[in-house]
Amino acid sequence: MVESLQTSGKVEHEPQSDSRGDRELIDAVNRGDSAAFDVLYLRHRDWVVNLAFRFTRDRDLALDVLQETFLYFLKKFPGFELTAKLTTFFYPAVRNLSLTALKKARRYQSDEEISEHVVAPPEAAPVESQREQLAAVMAELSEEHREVLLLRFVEGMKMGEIAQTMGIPTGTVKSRLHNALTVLRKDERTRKFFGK
Amino acid sequence: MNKSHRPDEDETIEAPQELIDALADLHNERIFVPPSIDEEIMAEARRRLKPVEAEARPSNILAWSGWGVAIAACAVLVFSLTLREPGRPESAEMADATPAEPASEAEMVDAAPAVAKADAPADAPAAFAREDVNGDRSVDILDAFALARRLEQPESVPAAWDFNNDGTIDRGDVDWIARVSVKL
Repeated sequence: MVESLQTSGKVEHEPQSDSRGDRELIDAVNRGDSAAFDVLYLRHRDWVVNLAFRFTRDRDLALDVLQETFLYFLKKFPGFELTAKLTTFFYPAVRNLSLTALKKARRYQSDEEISEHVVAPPEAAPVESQREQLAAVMAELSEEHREVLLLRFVEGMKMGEIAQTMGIPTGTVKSRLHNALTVLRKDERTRKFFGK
Repeated sequence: MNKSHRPDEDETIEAPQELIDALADLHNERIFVPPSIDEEIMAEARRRLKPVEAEARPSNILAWSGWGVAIAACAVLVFSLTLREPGRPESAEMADATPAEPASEAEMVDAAPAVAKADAPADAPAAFAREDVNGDRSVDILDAFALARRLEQPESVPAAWDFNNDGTIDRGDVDWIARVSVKL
């Protein structure tokens, strides 16, 4: 199954002391400042690798995707222009690279190995905690509904940002969000979150 | 939903705070990124970005001056061919060519872009703009056509042509250039 997770590694040159915004840093990278790229990398590394892990559910693949994402980002320089939040730029890249990595990995896995990654149906898994119940219901949601829910309530994105990030209309975001919440509200395993 | 906990935004769909907390808890897993990966990515950045600061500029200047010489030579060649009239001996052409010098500058100006366009390698960095796919120093619908043609051999398409920044180079990028060129 999935490897146990640890807290993100800290390297010596953490970017917290750099007060420049992403846009200023990107301007600097466009001028060839690799230290500015380092700050951007350290600032967004954890977000990228955790998003990759969310898609792949595999630590090694997530680390591969992290590297590929930042190499892809690096190739955009010089000449990269930030038109929205940097996470909005990263999201589709991480998603596509994750799905590609997942396909490649599965191509080389035996059926037995694949079956280890398949989420067990809820009735087969002994229910142990509220957290696991929520995880089970989330796993049953379609990827589109799950992502909208997580971008909204875990990443704290606004509707318009989610729409831009996922490349879909805002109306579709609202519709998916509404449907996802309806599923959670109706499912007996997650109904308690809604007060009933 | 019986509770709302996102009053800070003009967003209509809300969720109970208990659910939001549980979702956050479910996804607060952290992947340990080995320092070796950090170093690898940063070293790659130093390797790729450093030439832009120090080394690439002189070599770019040299490269461009080389192109300039080549273009000028081609323009002179084209000019001399245009002066050649059929049925006349070469010596007469040379004699006629000398007084025609005032016109030659204009012809060279006209000839240069045509030669530059014909000689521009498809993968050469865009001289005018990143969207100038066909290298003719203008961004127009022809660049969209050029990209569409290049997509028939996707392995030869540079990563920098992901104009809409969606992580793939596809029809969406063709549409993007088409939209931009219409706006221009």
